Amino acid sequence: MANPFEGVKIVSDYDNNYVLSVVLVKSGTSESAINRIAQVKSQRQVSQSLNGVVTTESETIIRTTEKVKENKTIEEITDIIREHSIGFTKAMEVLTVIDAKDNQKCYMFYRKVEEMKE
Amino acid sequence: MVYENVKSCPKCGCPIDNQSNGFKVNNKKNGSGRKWIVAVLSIIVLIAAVAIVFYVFSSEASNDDSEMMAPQITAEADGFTVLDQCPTQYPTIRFVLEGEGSILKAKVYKNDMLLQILEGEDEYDALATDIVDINDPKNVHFMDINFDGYVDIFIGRSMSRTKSSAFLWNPTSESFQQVAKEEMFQNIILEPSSKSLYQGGSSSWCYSGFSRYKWYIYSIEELETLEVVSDASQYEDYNVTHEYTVKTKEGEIVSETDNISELPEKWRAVYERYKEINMEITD
Repeated sequence: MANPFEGVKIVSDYDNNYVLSVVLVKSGTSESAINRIAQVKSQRQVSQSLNGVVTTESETIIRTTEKVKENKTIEEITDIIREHSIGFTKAMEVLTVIDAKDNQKCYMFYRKVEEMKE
Repeated sequence: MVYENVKSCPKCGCPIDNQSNGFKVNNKKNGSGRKWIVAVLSIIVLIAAVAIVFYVFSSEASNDDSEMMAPQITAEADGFTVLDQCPTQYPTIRFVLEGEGSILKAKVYKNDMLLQILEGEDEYDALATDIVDINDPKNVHFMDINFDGYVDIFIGRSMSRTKSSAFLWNPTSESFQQVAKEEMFQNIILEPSSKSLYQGGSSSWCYSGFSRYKWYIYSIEELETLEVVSDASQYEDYNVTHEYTVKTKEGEIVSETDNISELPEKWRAVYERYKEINMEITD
């Protein structure tokens, strides 16, 4: 992953897959308001991605090791999320928050795709 | 002499034109009198017409005003009003909502005539998110959110991690206008006595944030926030050191404590009310 991104990616390690959503939100209001906006913006972004509104490529899967147990495709992972996890996007949590350029904040949300676990 | 050929009328003494052989009276005085009468009558008619037009329009306007009065909602013992207290129907306004999972468009009918169409900027800029049933009457509530006496509409369920939208009735344009488009309006709480709006909720499992707003008729300004972080030492991203922190909009700390009973009274009441709302939602 050479370049920073704003969007949705799937991270695969040995046993688990995680959905990672990165959004930028303009500062200027209180942190309380920014947190609310970031959460909903991230949900919308992941929802668009899962519903195929945003095109996803094989690069969307970040493999942290070559020894990933199951080399599933984007389509397979999104199908698992849709079938087994109602409210998946709503339950994504903040991983970290970073100050970005142009008076913006970068929020990273994540959630483990439970059903992938063996 | 100028008056050589001029005779006077024996009755009234007004001059008679000599060249008209006394038959034609020089009635400059009478002629101008008629013109004055006509002018005065014209002005009276004009004023009457203007008055009638003004009366008709003003009575129509007052009818519209009375048609769009805010519903009477009595605040609860703690002085707050929450969404569930607000009616989901209004005599003259009807809605047709469009979308699936989210409300993307709302057609507003006033007295069964299409008044306006409310919608986001694009397909995914929804008016409200996390809508289970688009036909659920609880998707729309009527209230006086900006305390101006006119009915306003609230679209959405106003829960944590969702988006809802508020539209205010503008009597001048006779239409609804969106307020704070970028805001989420989560778990809204109104305080009529101070004309304040509170909103907030959980945006992470360990974090909840609430804001208090002041109204400027059709816009809001955030004044203070309450941030609740379950274990502040673990989550430095939130820039707080205590479980409960009240800050100004600029981030200046007003109060910070690990004990809810030490919070400023107003914020303690708001937080308690928020927890009640969420328990009702969960149940």
